[in-house]
Amino acid sequence: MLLLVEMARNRRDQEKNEVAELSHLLPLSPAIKDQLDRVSVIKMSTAFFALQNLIHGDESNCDEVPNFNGVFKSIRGKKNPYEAEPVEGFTLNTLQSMSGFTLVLDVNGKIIYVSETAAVNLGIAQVEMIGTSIFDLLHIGDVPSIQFALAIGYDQQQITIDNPEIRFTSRWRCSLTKRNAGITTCGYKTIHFVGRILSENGCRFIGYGEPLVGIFQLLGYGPGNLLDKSFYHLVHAEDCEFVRDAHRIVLEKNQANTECYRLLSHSGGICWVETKFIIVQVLRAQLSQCIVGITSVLGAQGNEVVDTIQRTTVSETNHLVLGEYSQNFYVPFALKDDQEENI
Amino acid sequence: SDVGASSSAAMMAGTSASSSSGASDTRSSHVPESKERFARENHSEIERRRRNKMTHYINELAEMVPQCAALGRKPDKLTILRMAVSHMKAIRDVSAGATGHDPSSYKPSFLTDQELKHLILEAANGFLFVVSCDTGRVLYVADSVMPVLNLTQEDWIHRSIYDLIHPDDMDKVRDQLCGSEASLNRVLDLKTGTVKKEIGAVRVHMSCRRGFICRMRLGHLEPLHRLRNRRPIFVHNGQNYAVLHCTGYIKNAPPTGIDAPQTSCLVAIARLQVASMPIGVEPLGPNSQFTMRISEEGKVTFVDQRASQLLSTPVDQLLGRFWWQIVHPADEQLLHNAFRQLLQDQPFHVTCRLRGCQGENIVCLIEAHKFLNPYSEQLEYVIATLRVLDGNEDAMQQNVALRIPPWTSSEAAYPTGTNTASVTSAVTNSLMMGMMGALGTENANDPWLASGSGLHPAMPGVHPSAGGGPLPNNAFGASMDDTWNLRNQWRAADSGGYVTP
Repeated sequence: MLLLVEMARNRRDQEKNEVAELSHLLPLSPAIKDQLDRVSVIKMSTAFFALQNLIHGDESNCDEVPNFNGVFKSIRGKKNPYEAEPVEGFTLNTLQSMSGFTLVLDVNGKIIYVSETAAVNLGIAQVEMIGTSIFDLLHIGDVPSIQFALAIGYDQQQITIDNPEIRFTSRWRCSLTKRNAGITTCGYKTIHFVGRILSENGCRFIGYGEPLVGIFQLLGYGPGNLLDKSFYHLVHAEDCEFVRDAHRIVLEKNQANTECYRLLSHSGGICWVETKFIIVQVLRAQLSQCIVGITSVLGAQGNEVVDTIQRTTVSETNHLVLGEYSQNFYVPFALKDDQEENI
Repeated sequence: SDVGASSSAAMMAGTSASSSSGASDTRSSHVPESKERFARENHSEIERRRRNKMTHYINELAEMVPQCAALGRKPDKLTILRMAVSHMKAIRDVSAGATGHDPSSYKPSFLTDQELKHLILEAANGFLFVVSCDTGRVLYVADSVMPVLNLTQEDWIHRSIYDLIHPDDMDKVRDQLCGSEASLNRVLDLKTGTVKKEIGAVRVHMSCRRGFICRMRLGHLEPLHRLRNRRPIFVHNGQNYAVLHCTGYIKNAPPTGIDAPQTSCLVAIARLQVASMPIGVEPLGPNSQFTMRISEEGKVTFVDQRASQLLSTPVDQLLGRFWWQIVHPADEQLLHNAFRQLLQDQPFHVTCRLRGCQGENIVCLIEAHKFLNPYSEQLEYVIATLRVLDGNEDAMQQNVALRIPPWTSSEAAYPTGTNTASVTSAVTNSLMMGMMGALGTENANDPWLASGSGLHPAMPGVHPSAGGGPLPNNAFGASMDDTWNLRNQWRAADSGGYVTP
């Protein structure tokens, strides 16, 4: 009996040694490695292997997906896929330039990789996130929609990837203090993702997410006669669905980003724009909340008048005035780079 | 202490026998105080769960290690760990050997330079670049600029950034690089919802961070598959430009390795967000269509430019007139009635003749639906899509469905909402899932459920995967095979009123 116990303990010690060796080999700082428990070491190692497989793996591992270009083709073709970039601190510079974080998910929604910058945005360490299911970190209300968007939980055979480029808005648990957190709602931060659906080497999604920054510089002004009109009347008729999608999402999740769409330029032509919507508490007004739309003008096209709204004459506004105010609401308004709409 | 000894004995027995029932049988044969028994059982339960969890993770690890998969049967825990260690060593040695670093030395990232560069490229379609603030000269650009813009590093390095972006965006970018300290800035603070005046660039340019959108020049479009059929692409002086989102920070001096004067520079990542670019093509052929917007009182408030080519009538002449006034007098009543009925939530299904500028009749198949504000559910306006038929009587009889609208969104819009009437607007273009019914989602109100076969009549995007063969045509005869063709996406009307076959 004692010998069995001895053997068991011996085996456990050997296992511990192997785990310690794994930990030692992981590409993490010693300070972090010292704090990892055994389960975390195993999880990190699994994720590391999965990521290596994705980046350097054999293309014959890729499931057949019609019309989809394999990712990471260019790195696999390299003679030395590990050479450093000629500029010093390439990695540091890249990470510091990012406003958000990159994310790679496997077919079950488990996080295979998240960049170190996730900690800056969410206050959760990279080693805590890697190996964890994304659904443990999302707001419970977003779980069904994200499952749907990423086809998590559906059999491989049942999925046809038509358009792999996707975007979605999601609310993540945020552990940062109020001072550092930026814009959060009840402990959750809204992150807007763009990325691609994959079906390669067990991976499902690779993408980039960023939060909304809290301060925007305003430029330009708009005609006062647009106030009290619905924002939908400024949108090109074929694109109003996109704005409405964003409107629905902002009502549900507090923030939304649109894709590129067209606004009618005053006196003719259209403007390609992108809008970030956010619900904002309003001070000193009859409304307690309104939706603020930060619209970035991408570029103008054409000058043909296509809508009756473009026929209304535009009054000259003093360029030093911050904006025009509606009689009914307190709504700072500017056309070129910033707009607000009333609920 | 007696309890302690017996409990650890029970645990050991549990470990070697790996049978929890054996352990509890042993324990229950004693008659200890119930509280202590609870504690031990609870402790044992926790331990069991921990072991199961560890086993689960070990198994996942085994799946990722090639040597484990090669074995005939699943190896034991120690073997898995040993194989994992050797696999890890092999990877890290290769990586270290190539870079000349000690494998256990600290790197600032989980990934190597190359891996991170390619990850940013694949995840965000982005590349790193460095620009001098005062001259705008490009000091460095990663070779990943090529798959994004189809331009080489040589096209970028030492060139002025202002030669590489759209001329109309030069002021915007200059402002980001050299933001004037003395300028009066109007700042919108989203946290408080207030607009303030701020002197100087400091508060706006949050320490040294920068973020902006600009249009960058593209090389030849042909190899840029991800951009195919995407809009907007801006054209200026024969060059194509796409919208890129740039984020980065200002550094006092360029990174080491860059041969340049020690002045401040911008280090940034430029991302081409393909998912923000809707898919759309300009179909101009014999059976083309155009869009109109009709106010609640029936006046035409918007007509898109294609109408002027299709009808040989300037769009301006249609604006502001009652909808039924622009059709053939004999069809006036028909259209007017259909419009009134649409406002009362009846379906809209009309074919009538528009008047061309020379008095000719242009037969149009018209679909219209109400566009409701999602918050108030009030009517904003009616959107009508008019498809010009070639005057063939047979064509008029054809129950051909229209596309509303011709653009598709890449927003992965989960069909939400309790009001089924307003739920069905956003058809996701990102995924098609076959055999929705077979997935077993049990929600009678879910419009995404296939009512019969995998092909839901209201959602032509959903179809069963044909298992690698060519994709079947959808119910409306459009070929679904070519990814790059325009997808005929439906946005079902908020309250009925779309043409069904």
